[in-house]
Amino acid sequence: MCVLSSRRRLFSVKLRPATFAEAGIAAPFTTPSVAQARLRLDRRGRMEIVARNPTGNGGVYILPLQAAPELFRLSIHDRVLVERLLALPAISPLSILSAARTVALEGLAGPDARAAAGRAVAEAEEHALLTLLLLLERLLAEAGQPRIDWRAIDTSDRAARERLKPYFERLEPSTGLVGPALVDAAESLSRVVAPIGLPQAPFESLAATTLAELRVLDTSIGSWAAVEHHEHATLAGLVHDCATLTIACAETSLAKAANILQSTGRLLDAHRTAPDAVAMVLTRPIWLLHGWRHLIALWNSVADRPRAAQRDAMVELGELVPLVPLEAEEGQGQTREQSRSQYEIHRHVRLREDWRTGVSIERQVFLETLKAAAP
Amino acid sequence: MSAISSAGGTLVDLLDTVDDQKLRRIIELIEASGQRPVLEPALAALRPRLRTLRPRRPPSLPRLLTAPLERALVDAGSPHAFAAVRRCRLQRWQALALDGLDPALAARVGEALATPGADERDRLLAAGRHLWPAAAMALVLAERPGEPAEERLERLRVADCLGLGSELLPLLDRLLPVPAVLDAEDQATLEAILTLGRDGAPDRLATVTSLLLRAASQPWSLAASLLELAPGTLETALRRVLEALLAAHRQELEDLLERLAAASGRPVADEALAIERLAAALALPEGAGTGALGADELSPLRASAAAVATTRFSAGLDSLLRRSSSRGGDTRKDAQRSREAEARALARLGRAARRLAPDGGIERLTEQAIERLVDAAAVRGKGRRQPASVEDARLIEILAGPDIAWQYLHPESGPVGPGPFARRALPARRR
Repeated sequence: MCVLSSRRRLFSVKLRPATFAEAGIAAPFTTPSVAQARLRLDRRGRMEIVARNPTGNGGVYILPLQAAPELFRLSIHDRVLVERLLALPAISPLSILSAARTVALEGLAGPDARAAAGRAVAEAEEHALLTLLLLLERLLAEAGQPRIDWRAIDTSDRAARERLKPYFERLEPSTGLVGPALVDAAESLSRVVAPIGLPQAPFESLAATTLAELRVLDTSIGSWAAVEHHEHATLAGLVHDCATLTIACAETSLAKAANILQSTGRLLDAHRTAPDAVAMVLTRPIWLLHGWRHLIALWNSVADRPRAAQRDAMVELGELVPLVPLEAEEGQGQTREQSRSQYEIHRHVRLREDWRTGVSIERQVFLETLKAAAP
Repeated sequence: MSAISSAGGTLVDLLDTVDDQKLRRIIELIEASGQRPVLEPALAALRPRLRTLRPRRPPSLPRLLTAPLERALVDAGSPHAFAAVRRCRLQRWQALALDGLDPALAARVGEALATPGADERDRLLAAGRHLWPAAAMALVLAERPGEPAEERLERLRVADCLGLGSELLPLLDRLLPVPAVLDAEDQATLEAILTLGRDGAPDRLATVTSLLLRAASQPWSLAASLLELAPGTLETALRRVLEALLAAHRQELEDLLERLAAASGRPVADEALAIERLAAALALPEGAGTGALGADELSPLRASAAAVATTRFSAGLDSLLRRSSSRGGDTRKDAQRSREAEARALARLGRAARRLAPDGGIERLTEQAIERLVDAAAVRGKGRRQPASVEDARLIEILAGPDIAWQYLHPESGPVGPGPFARRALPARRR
């Protein structure tokens, strides 16, 4: 490792993003120079990428996603991911997660990431089916219909959804929806609700898991910072502040989501008349928590390493930490100041990093390992 | 002792087979149990791995007494004996220092070390500020009749290292690992270290300079910088010291190259590490004044190293391709994981070889290997031209970069990206 003579200014952007759309969504690229770069839509609705300045100096590069392979020397995984992302009808944390898992399933991020993606996809499918069953059960209860015969349902069976048809038919009079429309609505809702989880769900949802891990990270960084000095302490403070604020906002948004999940009939009704508004409330916790899983995996990867390695990881966490958009704090009481540090610190060029192209053999492997840890 | 050696030997054999993470954990357990000094001779073989892994070591009085001279320690038979401290005598110096210490001071420092809270390195430095001067004095006074001159010199050197510890260690922490290009801040640190080495014990300059040079991946380059920074009054003495130290470095590199050339069947990762080390050390130093330090005479060594590196790279590629076609008893995932790890080590080896000899044929060998890899896939596909499999594309990516890999994965796409390979056409029959 050597110290580059030029210095990097961290956090050159001084203001927090106003909206989630402006903040964008972290994309799990494996090319070191664009790792966790953010994606968002430009004014014409085209996808653009916001990447860190590859020279290591302050500022970001904003360019159409389509042009990313021209500027960055992307890994083959990332080239395929860019193609898939460009084909998405809409971007959201869940659609990006799903696209990334599909690419990882092809083995483009290595065998471990493929296995992890396989497990994650199967788990997400099962969670969606369980959520569909729970929503259906609640609809039946609200309509005074007999409950589902659980003995006939095997959630690992691909034909399980077929067996639910008779139950949906019974609900047609009470919901006002007919046949496939009712099934589609329930399926669509179950895919949005599964990641945040229903209160009685027999699984830990993506949001709950991430939130629990984020709380652990928050505590860990808080105690790490207590014995740290100078710039790394400031950085840790920034990450700690962001984590604390994210936790508070995520808890509030989860409570709001739980509120509209209380009556499944009313939820279905609202979903039919104002699908975007319902989706916004239900997906906000995921928007807030998205990006943290990579940071959690990164911090966990240095848990047993010497302090110097933890400091390097902290610099990276400081660069990647997802700032909470101002709109997320609506209803939180007051908008908190989240200042950015303005000091300069050394950029450490890692051993074997090809500085001109940003390609680093070890670095890409490390990112793929994190991808396997947080699929 | 034989039982310990036997147990140690078994332990090392066992540890040699475990992965890095497990090895770090086991060594941390050994450290925590206080058995490290007993097992030290047996663990010597693992030292190169441990240097990279840096397992956590709980702060203790012996460790505190070792910290200032850690970089001066050399193994028996090392060519770096000049201005060094022999590892086999470390325990003796520690015992002498501890015997001469005020027990109350030792107890107080021991307690401070054991108190959790501040950063471990800060705790060590804070405790050292109290203990090192007293320990240095204890060692100076520990003269015994009939002590051989060489041992006496080493004892005083250890005392000097301890005496300098609280000033020297923060400077070394700031500078090491020595960067390839020194900026103004690095140069100021080097000057401060040289100033420390100027006064005091007779061989302090040699001791301090040896600490720096042993930690440098490019010793000739650092030596040239030191000469440039040294004040005129120090230049002659420093040049003499540097020549002795660089002769030892050269000897060490020659030994390393000889071992590398003689051994076969070593894991590619180990070979890559050794060749990277050679490539870094033998890189042409920048700046004037290096000729007199023997840098000009490194060319034959560099050429020999390049030849060995190219041969090893070629053999490594052959081995990788053989593994590609025969998956053995491994599961697909394990097989791919191990092929990728081997390819990564080869890529590093190839990069080091290119550094030693830019036109040494590494690119040609890589291209040939990729062709063979794709041809083998075509044979498996009954001669039909088809895009490379994802597994093969990953290997190509590791060996030749993503641009080339992408062209094999998507033959219809043509060159893409800003990398150096992108502008070069693929072999005609592949387009």
